[in-house]
Amino acid sequence: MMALEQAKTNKDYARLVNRIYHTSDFEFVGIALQETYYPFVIKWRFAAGNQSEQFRQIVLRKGIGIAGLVFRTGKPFYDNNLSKYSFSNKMYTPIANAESLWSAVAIPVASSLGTVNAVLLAGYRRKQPVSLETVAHLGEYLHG
Amino acid sequence: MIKDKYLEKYVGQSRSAIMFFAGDQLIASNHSAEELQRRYGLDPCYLRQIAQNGKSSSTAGYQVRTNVVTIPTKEKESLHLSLCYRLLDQEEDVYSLTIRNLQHEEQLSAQERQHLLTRYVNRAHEKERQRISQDLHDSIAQGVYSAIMGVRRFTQGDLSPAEQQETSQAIEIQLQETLTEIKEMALDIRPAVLDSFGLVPAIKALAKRLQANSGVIINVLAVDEQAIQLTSDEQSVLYRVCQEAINNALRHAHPSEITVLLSNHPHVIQMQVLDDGDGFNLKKNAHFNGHSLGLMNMKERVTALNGVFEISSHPHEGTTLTVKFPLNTVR
Repeated sequence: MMALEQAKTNKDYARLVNRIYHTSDFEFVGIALQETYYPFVIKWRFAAGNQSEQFRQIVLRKGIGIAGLVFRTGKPFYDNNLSKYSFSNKMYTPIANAESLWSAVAIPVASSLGTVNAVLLAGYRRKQPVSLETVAHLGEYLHG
Repeated sequence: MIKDKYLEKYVGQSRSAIMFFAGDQLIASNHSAEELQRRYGLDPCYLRQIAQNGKSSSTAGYQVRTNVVTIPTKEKESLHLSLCYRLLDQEEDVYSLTIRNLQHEEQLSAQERQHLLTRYVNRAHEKERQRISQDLHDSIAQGVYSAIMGVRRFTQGDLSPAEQQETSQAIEIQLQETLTEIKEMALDIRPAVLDSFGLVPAIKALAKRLQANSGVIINVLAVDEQAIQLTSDEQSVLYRVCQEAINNALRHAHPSEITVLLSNHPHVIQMQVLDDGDGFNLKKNAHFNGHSLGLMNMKERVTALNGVFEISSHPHEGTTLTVKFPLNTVR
């Protein structure tokens, strides 16, 4: 987990997203941030490899979708064949829909107290399965 | 005899399953009955018992028609059957059992249709309550509980000023999020904006929210609110139909874009919900699965207010749902 001090500016987040996108084979990389003021909305703020600007419209909900689950639990999540989830399913991941992702991993970016205020997500449009290994691989970018 | 030959043919080809019993024994059955047994593994004696249970509650013993009977099958769908028990020969205890599979819509009577619909609506209500209850439990209660834990940590823990600051902010965020969820739930149950600002703002708010939740583009193109003079009943129905149509599209069609069109014509107000998703074969889906009962219920609500309800869809060509209400009619 990355301490808040290490990447507290937006510029750092933008740079991180771009670096991951350019040095890995992920087809989409994004960071969702929770606003620090009312109503504390969570949105995708930085993305690389995006196919449209549609991702900006998404409001994440804690506990719903891969990234939402990371926000709620503070634990990494990954899943494949994301289009199998219907809209009413808790695993339905809006970003997967907006960006046509087949698979994705998401890991928490935590503040010093352990509360999650950002989530890093990376995924594939092609049928490239992700696993715990992919989670670890993405995690390396936060430590490095 | 020629009469027997045609009688036999008629029974044999009937889409209703017909079985003849003598006592407990099945003595004859037609093709549909065999099909029913083979495909769903239904025991004829079981069906006989269901029909006879209906018999005991009836005074006239010669013919008994049951209400719709739902039988779960090995596949996920359930079978909706209507059974008719008819005594043919009292002395030899011979009787017939005619079973209609209500999956075939054309075989339905108006009353049976109503029964199915009522059941569907009741089930939908119950499901809605279940969802609200679960949301209250999962989101609201959980959120309040987390806030309580935060307060406890704040008062009991030996926190540095910086940690105090962060904890208090975490508690605030927790409570604000819970507040947002409560407001969302209230919105789901009945949008206040529909009552105070009218149909167009309500549909726009709905589209914006569903777009934010789904990642699918949802456009609303609407005429001026003033141009839409509808009764509050009509507004409610249009709102609910729109809500269900968008939800249906999101759930089943994998669309990339949904558009709601609200327009007024000389004598008609028209609402269309279009999506560019998978579409479906209307004819194939005309039997009673949950989806089409949902459609049937929408249609029922619209036609009850003298409106017109149409749906057109083809595989891979999306779905268009149209509702029209006449203007200036006597209400």
